[in-house]
Amino acid sequence: MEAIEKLDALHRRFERLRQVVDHKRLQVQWIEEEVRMCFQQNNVQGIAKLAREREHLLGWITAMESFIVKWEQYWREYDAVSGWFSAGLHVQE
Amino acid sequence: MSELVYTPSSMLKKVFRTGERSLSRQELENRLQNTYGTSLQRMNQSPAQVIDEALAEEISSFHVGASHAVIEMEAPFRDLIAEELVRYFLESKGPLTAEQCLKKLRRQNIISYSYAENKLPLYKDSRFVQFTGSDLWYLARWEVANDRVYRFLANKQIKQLPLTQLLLMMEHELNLSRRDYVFVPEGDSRLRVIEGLVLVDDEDEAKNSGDKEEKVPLQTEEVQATALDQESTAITENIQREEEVAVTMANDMKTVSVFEDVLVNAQDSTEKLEQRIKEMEEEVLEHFKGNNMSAISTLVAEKEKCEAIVVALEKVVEAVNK
Repeated sequence: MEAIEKLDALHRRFERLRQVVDHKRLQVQWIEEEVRMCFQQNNVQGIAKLAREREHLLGWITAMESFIVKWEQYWREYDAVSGWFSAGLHVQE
Repeated sequence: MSELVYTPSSMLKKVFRTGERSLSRQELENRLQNTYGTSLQRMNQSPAQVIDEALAEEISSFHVGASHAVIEMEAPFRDLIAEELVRYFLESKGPLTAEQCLKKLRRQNIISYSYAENKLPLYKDSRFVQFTGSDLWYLARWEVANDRVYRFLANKQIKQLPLTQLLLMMEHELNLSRRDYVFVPEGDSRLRVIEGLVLVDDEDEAKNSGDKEEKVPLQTEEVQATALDQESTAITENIQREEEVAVTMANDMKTVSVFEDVLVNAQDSTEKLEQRIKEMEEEVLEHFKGNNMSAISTLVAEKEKCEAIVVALEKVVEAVNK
């Protein structure tokens, strides 16, 4: 969460979170390359460790995506009703 | 001299470029003329005749399009049997007959025993070609190495050598990879293969004797006929003698060529194992994505076994080369 701490505008927070999710996806791809290396060295333990790490990352990505969808939707609805957030955003920008 | 000439449909397959599905007759004729002009001239054939013959073949991948001026090529989008066949050709590094292809496919349970030979993609897929007068099929991507091999052997003044040695020489001395080049053992009168022994004919000698014949003054038809008879008998005797010598030589060479066979087989096996290891790398990634650790363990065990065999084969090669 420290990644978004200094971002006051809500829409920027969502953008930033999406960037973090993209980065995590890249990490999943890098893990697949590491699996190749482990296989070349016949390192089954290493592959098992990477599999756990991948599961963890995928879980995190799913949770974060649903978080973003839920709260972004909530924000848009609230913003549409009151206009209060929009006003705040303009001030920030 | 008899020479290597592709069958009409094979010629068409060779001149169609990747991704092309139809061509105008005119363009096709031009390409045939540019690529096989000399051979067609020797055979007294025109490109138009070649196209007609290819269209008339019983199993042909070519047909006339919407207009008479357009020739279309049937091209299956993705044919698993054809892809398997390409693998067999690359593995065997040489030509195969349709029968051999059928047997291999049946052995792998890819086709049933009732699968007919004429259904094989060899006939319709542009990746496979054939030479006139031969049952053997080749990959269209292979370049024919016979000219280079002949020049090399003629320069070195080698008159005969075992086929296995020739194939090794192609790879190691001429640097012609057998993934891209192929030696065609049939239909080339300069390089005849008898019982695993390649006989190299001296083209210059043949030319010289041809020149001498031209200098002989014209005589009566009768005398000429007798001379021709005698000449043909002498040629037949020469060929017979040559073949007898070849058979004797072949027997002598067999012992030497056993080691070469062992070497070739060991190298082939090493290549196959290395290929399998590469394939396994992709399989591991698939299993990894499916979180299937037991399948990954099995593959690692298989890889360790493959590597152990490769090490053992390297020792075999070392022992043969000692």
